[in-house]
Amino acid sequence: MDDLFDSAIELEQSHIQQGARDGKRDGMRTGLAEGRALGLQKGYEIGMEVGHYAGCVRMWRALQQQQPGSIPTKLERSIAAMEECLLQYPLYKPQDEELHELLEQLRGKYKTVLAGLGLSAADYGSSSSSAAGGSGSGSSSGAAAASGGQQPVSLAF
Amino acid sequence: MATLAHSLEPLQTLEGHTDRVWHLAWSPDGTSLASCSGDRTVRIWQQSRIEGRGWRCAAVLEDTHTKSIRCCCWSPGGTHLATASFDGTTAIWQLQGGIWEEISKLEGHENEVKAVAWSPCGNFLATCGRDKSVWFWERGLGDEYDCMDVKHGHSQDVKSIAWHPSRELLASCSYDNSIKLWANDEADWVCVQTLEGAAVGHSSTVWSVAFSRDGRKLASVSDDCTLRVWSVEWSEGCPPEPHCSLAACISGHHSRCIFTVDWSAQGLIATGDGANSIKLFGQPSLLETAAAAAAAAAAGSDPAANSSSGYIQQAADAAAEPGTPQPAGEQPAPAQQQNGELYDAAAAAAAAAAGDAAAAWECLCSVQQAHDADVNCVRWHPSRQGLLASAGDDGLVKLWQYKGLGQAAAQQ
Repeated sequence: MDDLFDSAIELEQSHIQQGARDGKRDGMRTGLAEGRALGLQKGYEIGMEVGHYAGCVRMWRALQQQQPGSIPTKLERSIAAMEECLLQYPLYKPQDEELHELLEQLRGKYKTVLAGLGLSAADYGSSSSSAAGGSGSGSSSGAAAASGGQQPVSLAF
Repeated sequence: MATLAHSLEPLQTLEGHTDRVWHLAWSPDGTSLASCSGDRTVRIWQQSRIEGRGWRCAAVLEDTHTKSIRCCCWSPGGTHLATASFDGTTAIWQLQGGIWEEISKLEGHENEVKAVAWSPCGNFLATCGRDKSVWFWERGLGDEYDCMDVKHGHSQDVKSIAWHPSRELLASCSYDNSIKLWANDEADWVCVQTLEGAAVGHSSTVWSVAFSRDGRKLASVSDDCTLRVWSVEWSEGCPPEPHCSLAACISGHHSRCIFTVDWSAQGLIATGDGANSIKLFGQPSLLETAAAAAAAAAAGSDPAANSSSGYIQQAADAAAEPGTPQPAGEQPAPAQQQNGELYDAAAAAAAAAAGDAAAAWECLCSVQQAHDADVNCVRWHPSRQGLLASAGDDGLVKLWQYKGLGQAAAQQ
């Protein structure tokens, strides 16, 4: 009599355990895939934004050299601060806590320089926070191409 | 303890705006009141020189902003007015030959600018907006304002900002339920503290913040229907660093979102809310000791010394609380001895701070239906005791007179 009920209860238990194991396994699989896709997208967005700022700084410096006086001297401090942030930017340390703080600092300084030049973010092909989501559509192809190479992108000035 | 009688009497209703009035600002010399509105204008109100005629509209500033003007602020010298608008710009106006003219326009915010505030030293202007950022502008040559720094600390719409009365410290509050404090680190502005979190911070949008006139306290009001008072302390370092801690959380008095808050010179807090009411809060124990001291002083010395040293006197008396006998002879000194009196009181201020914070806050009076709609802004007059202005969604500006114990003795 005991045997009969024991095996029935155990059957239920073993099904529950099997289900849990299957769920964990499948969950890890999809979770990893999702995380990877999300990481790729976020990485691309951050890279895009930081790259945009690096490009702008490079362009302003070139402009200063070729046409002295084109960039008001009062903006020197903000441009220099951007250079500082860009050099420190932990592009290859995704878990670095400074990632977001430095990005916010860059955003702030960038807007300060634009305001000083009398321009708006729209004039510079916005890479501001509000537009970051919109640029994600072309991410997968761009990111796939970039992920192949391991060469560090040079942000040297 | 004697029961105090408090009242807020309506003085005058100023009509003229054709849309909701968002904000008010008294000029530093107290002769003018600026109000700004959804009708895209600013009105300057002044008191008629004819006895008994009250306040009338002396000027209308228009044709500049293309959308609602959300906030206005006078420069510390009273010569300029800044207006922040939903059109994303901040305009600077100057009074030239009796006419208000727009002399500068600050652009940069991505969308609606919600507030503008001039630093007490006059060198900085701060703006905040729906784009979640706080912008710092610095006065340059010839009335030019250059963007100094843009801070993205808040994660949502920044509703309002307020400068500390004597230090370069700015408080900002936001839809993200937090209050941030910003201090100047050479030419960069850094967030030195964020007031948020369970049991300490607000649990919903913080609509307005205000520093007390002596800069030792900060008040904040929120959609969570509470009024919080924070004490502001400075560390010994060089430069001294500020730190705020929650001193009181006043709840249960408002049934709707509280939109505006302002401190009077005597340490009273006025609030305006979404239930159309204006409420006044104070610490009765401190008010009584101040009133008693003021009454004694009025009997023997220059009454003009009362209003400015009133709070310091209150602090010195509070140092003796609770339970210990009041120090005898602590009368507010006549004007020429004021510096010495303030120094002594400042020494006792550290001990007083504990007494101040512990003294209970009470709702002294409540005016229901102060306006026929939301009360958007309340502002105490800079010098005339008890004169309060309010602005509402009903398009009206109203003037009120507060009367409480000690008012008779200290009447100016």
